[in-house]
Amino acid sequence: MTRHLLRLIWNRKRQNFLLTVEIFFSFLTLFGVVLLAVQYANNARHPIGYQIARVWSIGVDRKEPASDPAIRARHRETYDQLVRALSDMPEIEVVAAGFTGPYSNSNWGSGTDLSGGRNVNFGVNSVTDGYRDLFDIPIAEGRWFSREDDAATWKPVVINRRLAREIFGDGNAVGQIIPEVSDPGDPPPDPAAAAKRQSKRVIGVIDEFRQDGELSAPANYLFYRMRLDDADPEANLPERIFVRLAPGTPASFEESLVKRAMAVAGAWSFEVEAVEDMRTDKLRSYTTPLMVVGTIAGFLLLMVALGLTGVVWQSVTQRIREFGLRRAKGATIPNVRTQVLSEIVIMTSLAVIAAVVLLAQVPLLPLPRDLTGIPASVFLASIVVTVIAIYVLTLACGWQPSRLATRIQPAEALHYE
Amino acid sequence: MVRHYLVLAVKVLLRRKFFTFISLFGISFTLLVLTVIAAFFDHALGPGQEEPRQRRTLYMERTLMYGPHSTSGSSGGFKLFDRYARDLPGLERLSLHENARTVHTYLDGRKISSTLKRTDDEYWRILEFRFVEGTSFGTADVAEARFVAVINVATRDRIFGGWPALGQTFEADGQRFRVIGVVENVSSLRSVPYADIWVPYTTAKTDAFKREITGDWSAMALAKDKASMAAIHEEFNSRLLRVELPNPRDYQALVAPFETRLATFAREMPLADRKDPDSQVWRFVGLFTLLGLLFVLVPAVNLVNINISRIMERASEIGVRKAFGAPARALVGQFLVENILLTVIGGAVGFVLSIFVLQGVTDSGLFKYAHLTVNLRVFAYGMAFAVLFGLISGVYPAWRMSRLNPVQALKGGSR
Amino acid sequence: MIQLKDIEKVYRTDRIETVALADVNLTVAEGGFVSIMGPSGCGKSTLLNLMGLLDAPTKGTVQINGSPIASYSDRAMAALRNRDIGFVFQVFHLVTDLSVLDNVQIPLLYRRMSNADRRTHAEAALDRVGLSARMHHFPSQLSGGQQQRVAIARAIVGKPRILLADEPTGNLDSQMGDEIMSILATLNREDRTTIVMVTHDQQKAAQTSRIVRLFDGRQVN
Repeated sequence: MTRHLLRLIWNRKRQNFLLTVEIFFSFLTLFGVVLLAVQYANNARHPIGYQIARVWSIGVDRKEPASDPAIRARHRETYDQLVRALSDMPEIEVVAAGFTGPYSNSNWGSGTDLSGGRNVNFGVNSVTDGYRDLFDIPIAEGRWFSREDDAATWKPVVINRRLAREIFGDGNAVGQIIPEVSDPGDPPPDPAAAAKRQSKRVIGVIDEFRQDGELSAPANYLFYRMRLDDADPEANLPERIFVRLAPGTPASFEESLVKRAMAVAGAWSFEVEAVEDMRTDKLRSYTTPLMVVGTIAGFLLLMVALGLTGVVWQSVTQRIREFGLRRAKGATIPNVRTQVLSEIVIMTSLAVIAAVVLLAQVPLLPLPRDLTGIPASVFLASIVVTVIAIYVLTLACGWQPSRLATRIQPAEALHYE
Repeated sequence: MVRHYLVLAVKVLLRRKFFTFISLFGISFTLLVLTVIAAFFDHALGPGQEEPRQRRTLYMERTLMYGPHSTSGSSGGFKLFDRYARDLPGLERLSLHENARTVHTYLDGRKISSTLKRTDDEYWRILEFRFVEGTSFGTADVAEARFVAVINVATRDRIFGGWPALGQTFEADGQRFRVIGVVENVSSLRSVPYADIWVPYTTAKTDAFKREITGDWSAMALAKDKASMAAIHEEFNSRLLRVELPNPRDYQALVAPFETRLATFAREMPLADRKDPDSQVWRFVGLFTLLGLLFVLVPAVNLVNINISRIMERASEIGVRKAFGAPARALVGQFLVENILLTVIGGAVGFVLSIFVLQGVTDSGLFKYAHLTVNLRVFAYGMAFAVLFGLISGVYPAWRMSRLNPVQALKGGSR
Repeated sequence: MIQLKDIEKVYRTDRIETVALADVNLTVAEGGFVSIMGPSGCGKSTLLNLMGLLDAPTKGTVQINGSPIASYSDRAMAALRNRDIGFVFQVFHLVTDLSVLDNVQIPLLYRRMSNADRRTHAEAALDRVGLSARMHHFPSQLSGGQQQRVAIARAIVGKPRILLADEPTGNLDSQMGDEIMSILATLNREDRTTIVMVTHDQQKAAQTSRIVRLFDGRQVN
């Protein structure tokens, strides 16, 4: 029986080949969609590491590039005044400033070479002391930045557990200096420059800070301390000011907030956004590609369904004609259906096997960081789900038309004589 | 003769209704997608309501600075255009405008977000807005930095409740402006004329922008005639070589070409070589043709399959025609006519469906103020796609048909 | 008119070699009316196909009106068929979706003519076989004999010099068969059309001027 079946399939190989290729491509596209979806679902399980309720982000546009040290100093002073002015407002509980914050579109990434020949990458942020309180970031070990660090001769940093584990292994991270090696290609350091290149000392470890939100992959993160009263002209200026509002503050408060800010810094522009709204936009930036690829996959699957239906219908009618000519009895018609379905199973299996073999090569390819971060369990789960989905689709496409065809054909089968 | 083929084609399609239905379904859907995409492109890049002079206008929107280790992309800076783009040969008018930014107006406890553009007076002479009230700001308004504004109908509705706004004032981003003109809404897909509020650029809060080579500004160069466009492009590119770059250690070259609308769009597409000041349009066309072919490949393959099995059914007819001396060309032609008839019908169905889809997208408000519709151009594109699709999916089966051995065909068809 | 010299036709599949014709030498003079007879599977149809240029011999030469076919391209052969050869088949092979008139016009589609001319010729051909009244009917509406007459009209519409008929009366009853034979005889007599007919009907063969017998691919007696 199988021999006969295989011979039948081989005879119609051209047609079956084209369809198998279609199923192959649909599998890959569907896999892409499933992978993204499973990846997101998996990421969403982990905590994000902060709270954004009642938090507003104020994007600051200074309109003037701050390359000149005098301008920089002026800007820093303005920021300081801004933060004080906002803190005085009764509707505001906490004020903090920083380079970036949750769900924003600014990402600062960095990396460094460690002694021992290793290399780490991490997301970076530079924030004022009030940041932790504002976002309610739980400290796992050590402490957050405070005035204690004003006099430090090293750079205090707070890192997340993931980064701590990567740098220090299972050992204690708090109080340790990150063992960086300076770039051998650096010019010989002069005393002033050497003094500036302070080492980074970990003063605290947090569980997690996933700047891009629930759907992003867990990554390394590092906080620098930002001081608005810092005399150092090289130190960074904030790009955003964050405020947490007292409970019950209405949305109309925004107008007063902006007026107050403009009173301090008339030449600057302020863009106030509720972080919850930024979250919506950020999540949409994850789901939109998913929807786009999903639509493409849907289109492909629709085409596969149509193609399969056509081939099945035609295959069944051809067989019925063959049977009709040999004056077969009605009892053999279920045989036709089984034959056709087996043909479909074999075609689909070929496509699936080819696709899975191709996908198995993926972990071996040098891919950008985003993609290699996908855990094996997610990858495998996606493959399994896609395989099941494809089989269900192709069998459904085969079942219905063949059922219809076998019911209609008998009367016409004799007609074909 | 073609009539003979068409009559036969229609009969053949009607005979195998199920196959025809499946094929038509797939074809219409595919052509629906292609027609909708064509409509989008036509809407965004084709001749637009407010841009009657687009054919002889060059645009400069994105610059690229690069050095051995770094690249930096942004829009142009005011200084770049002000100093190097004036008095170009063949230039009729030059307009500079800042890229649109979102500003907020706080009114009675409401927050109204609008898109604001700072422009010069030449902007209004190169583009043609439809004014429902008042007029645009002119040279004197800009020179004296008067706080006047042109707003669109939607903004008039939001801020003034739809009442006549001429002479009224409003606040945006902390500045107060007086309305001197109201225009019809411009689709957000047309990036050059699009905004909610237009004000003279001299009303900016600081004038730091005047010292920037790269920044947030774009330019339009209206050429005297189509022939001058090349001269403008070349001359500006050569002037760029003299520009003093902000960080000469990091950046050694600046790419900031004046090019056609389509070329500025093509420059932002993947696979474009942004370091090349010459037009990237052909790469873009190539990329999209490739994507289009890939997209069309799957339904085409389906159709090829169906077509080949239909050929087998007509073995008898093919055998007879060959016996009576039909050259391969005639058989291929016959089959292509049949196939193209099918795809053109599918194209027509897809076209009708696209009208509904585009209406739905317009109604959904996904793209602000965009009225997506079909027009004669889009219809022509749609039909061209349909014919192309018919050729792609018909050539191989037609060739197979012509190669059929007449003896076998006559034997096989004798059932 | 038709000359076959040392013809051999062998069919090869992966495992089997079938010799359909061997050592066949045949000349049909212009205006001849020849029958080819023999048992089933003896190669009659193959021989007819070779004469009609629908197939090429494995060995040997075919000449139509003095021109050797071996050197002809596919296109040239098709043109020759269109101009000089007409076919009639046992199972008629009419296109069911086309009217009688459209069916008859098929050979003319591949010649440069105006549509009006094609119609005129087709109507004339139908007139010769006596089916003018059925011009706009469809094959499914006609009897077997009428269908075969349409097929003959189609075969002669282009005024070919040669008519090749493969068991033309095989699917017809004796009365219809006789009608067909009489039409063929008229064509041969009045137009001097060279007719080669394959048949297994001795009675029909007797109405032709010469009988060629085949057995297992070879000529006998």
